[in-house]
Amino acid sequence: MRLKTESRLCSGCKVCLTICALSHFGENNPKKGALRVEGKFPTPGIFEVHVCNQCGACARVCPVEAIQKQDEAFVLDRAACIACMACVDECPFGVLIVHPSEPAPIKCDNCGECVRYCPRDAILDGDGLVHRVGK
Amino acid sequence: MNGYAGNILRVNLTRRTHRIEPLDSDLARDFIGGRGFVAKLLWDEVPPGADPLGPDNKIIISPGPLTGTFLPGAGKLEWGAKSPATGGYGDSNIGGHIAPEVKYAGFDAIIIEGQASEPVYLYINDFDIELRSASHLWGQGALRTEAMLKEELGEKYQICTIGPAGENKVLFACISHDFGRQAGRTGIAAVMGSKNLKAMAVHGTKTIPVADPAASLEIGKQMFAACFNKPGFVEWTPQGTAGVTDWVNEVGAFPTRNFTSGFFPKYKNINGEALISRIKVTDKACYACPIPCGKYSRVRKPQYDVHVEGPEYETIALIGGNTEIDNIEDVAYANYIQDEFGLDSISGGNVVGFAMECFEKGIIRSEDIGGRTLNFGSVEDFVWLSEEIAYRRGIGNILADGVKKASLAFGGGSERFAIQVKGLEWSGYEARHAPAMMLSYMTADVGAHHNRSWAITFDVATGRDKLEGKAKRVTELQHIRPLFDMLCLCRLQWVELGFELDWYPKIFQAVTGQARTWDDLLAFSERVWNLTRCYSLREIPGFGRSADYPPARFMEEPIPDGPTAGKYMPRKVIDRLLDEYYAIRGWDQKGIPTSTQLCKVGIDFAEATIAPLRV
Amino acid sequence: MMGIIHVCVRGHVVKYFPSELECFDFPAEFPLTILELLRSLNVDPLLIMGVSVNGTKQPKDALIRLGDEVLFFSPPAGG
Repeated sequence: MRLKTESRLCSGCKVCLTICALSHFGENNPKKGALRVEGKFPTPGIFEVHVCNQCGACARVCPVEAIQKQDEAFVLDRAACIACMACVDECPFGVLIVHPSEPAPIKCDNCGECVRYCPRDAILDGDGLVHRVGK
Repeated sequence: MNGYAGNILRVNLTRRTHRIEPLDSDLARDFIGGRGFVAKLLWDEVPPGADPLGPDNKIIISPGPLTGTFLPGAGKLEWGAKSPATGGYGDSNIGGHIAPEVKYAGFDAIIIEGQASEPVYLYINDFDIELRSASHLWGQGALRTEAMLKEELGEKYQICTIGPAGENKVLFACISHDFGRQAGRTGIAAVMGSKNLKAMAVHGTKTIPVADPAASLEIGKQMFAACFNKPGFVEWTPQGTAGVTDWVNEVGAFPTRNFTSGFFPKYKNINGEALISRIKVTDKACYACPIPCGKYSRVRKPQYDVHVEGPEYETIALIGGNTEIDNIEDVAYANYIQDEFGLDSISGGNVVGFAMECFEKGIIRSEDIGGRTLNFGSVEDFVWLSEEIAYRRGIGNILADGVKKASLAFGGGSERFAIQVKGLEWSGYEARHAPAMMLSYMTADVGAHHNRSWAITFDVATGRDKLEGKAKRVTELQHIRPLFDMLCLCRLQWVELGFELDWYPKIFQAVTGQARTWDDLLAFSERVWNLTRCYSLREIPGFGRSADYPPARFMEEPIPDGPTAGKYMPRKVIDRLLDEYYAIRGWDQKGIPTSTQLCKVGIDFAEATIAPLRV
Repeated sequence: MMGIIHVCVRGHVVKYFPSELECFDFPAEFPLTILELLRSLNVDPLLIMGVSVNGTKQPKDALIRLGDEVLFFSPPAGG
């Protein structure tokens, strides 16, 4: 599973953010989703979806090695994190998410739920294995 | 209380204070949220006889217990106030992303009281509440104001604004949000303007508590999957609501030339196909919606280059057909102009169409408007008049009060073609050959609005000349549709895809912990329907049956052409429909709920107020 | 020539279709137009807002061929 985006299809609905937060925190709180939906309004009037491509830049700057490769993803160990935010600054896509009620930044673990629930096929699996739910 | 944020924010603009109060559990238990809270709080808290544009009116803003949680369409917000357009109950619903943000900030309702001494905006950042100066925003367009606040505060803030029309208390001014969503009807933006409240900026980070997290996640997932599997799920989105334009013309129900006719010969130049092939940029969604109806567009001609969300069907109807602007680019441009001024484009198109007919008939003369014209089909005239209205200049000052009051000021028989009910302009469906739809418009609580009960397919399917069963169907729809405004969910998944209604009680229970059947929920909606009727009865002298009639044009003038040529609805048919409707509703023949009915729907507290009106 | 058309209905007019099924197979004599199909189904063409055949929008007088998939759209119930 490898996240890929087709931003021209994004409608800004934030289902991705919501299902991400629900899957990882069990909370109805899209502010805890591990990706970014950026609207460029009033002009040019489009959305850009920013997802983690598991580049590992965050892992390389973490002073306590709290971000480790597991299968295809770099996973942030929330217990090991010291909240220095170096990873947040380093991320080239701005998808290490900071939330006031979470001590550690929030990082995508490549679970694919956003692919399964994006109504627009704006977030896809580049490996073609995970698909939107439904027939 | 699961599903609810648990708090009400009360803001006093006069004293520049605010208070965060716990949500009253009786209010939640008996009125659910959204429109239910609006109706009950207006009844309880706005003193009878209050001037809608005075300091005693209140603005109630309320999402529902399911808003901001995980199900399709969970992103709607209800606004309400005593309406300056009708003098009675007013509410309007808005999509976009403001509703969940109000929940994440921690509120089930925001009550705005009093009147600020100078322009302010309401700043909400979780529980950090401020009234900030809006002196730099006052005078700016509704869209421009949002852009300025986004820049000032950051993209993460959700912004609602009024434009110059709201500032100038135009009675059909609208509240704007997310660069193209509006709470358009009943003039609540004029109430904001009267309170010197230019905007609201909201940001929240909290989690919404749910009763059964596992069940609500699972049901939510099933609901999204069910939408995805609906036949036509993919096909509906590209044109959105504009896609109905052709059909409405084919059945002769398209507002044309100030509702003279029901068919616009040039409709193919302003339909959904024209929109997607010539101007659309992006399909834009409200929160959690899988079928984004927003059509964000760019229109470019030598005279202009603008971006606008739309035109929606209603705008195509009221600006396109109703003022005969015959190309999608000019319709979208006129839409943009009214959006920036902060004018409801439904009333806006209706009012301009009315003025154009007055000009055609010599009731408004060129000398009255500085030698100018107001011709059907002229986007230049449309744009000029919209500006005059927004700034209440000259003839715009009269029209800014809506077609009902303007027709009384103009005279000349113009009341017969002031297309409104109760003081709210008629929206996008000509109904002279659709009795259920006609009755829907006559009896919608806020005035001539289609969203309470949309029944044209029912009329076509069961017989357009038949009256049997129409009042019953309208009553049913008037419970179903406004229920969505209490839950503060979008109706369109049900309306457009046929998404099954029995999903909603399931998710309601999983989120709130309350076991309610769909019929239980409809009973709450019937309660609120009767309460809003009582509110208007309390506030408007002489309100009742006489306020439930359509304009004379519809009762007396045959449609001149098109598929419904020759049709009109004589008064005796109107009376038959009303008689049957009141009987079904448990109202007397004056259109006043009986005491039995008030008791049956659980609002006997209104009896003391209503009883004297029955004699 | 007899054959099967796969028919789906989006939205509320499904209740005016046989068995009120969202999707069903319908035996028909080919070729036939969409209007003829609607008549065979006993559905008033005025109830149908639009039609797509194999994913492409078509006018109601268009021909349907063996193996086509037809999707009928209800008028929305608006607002």
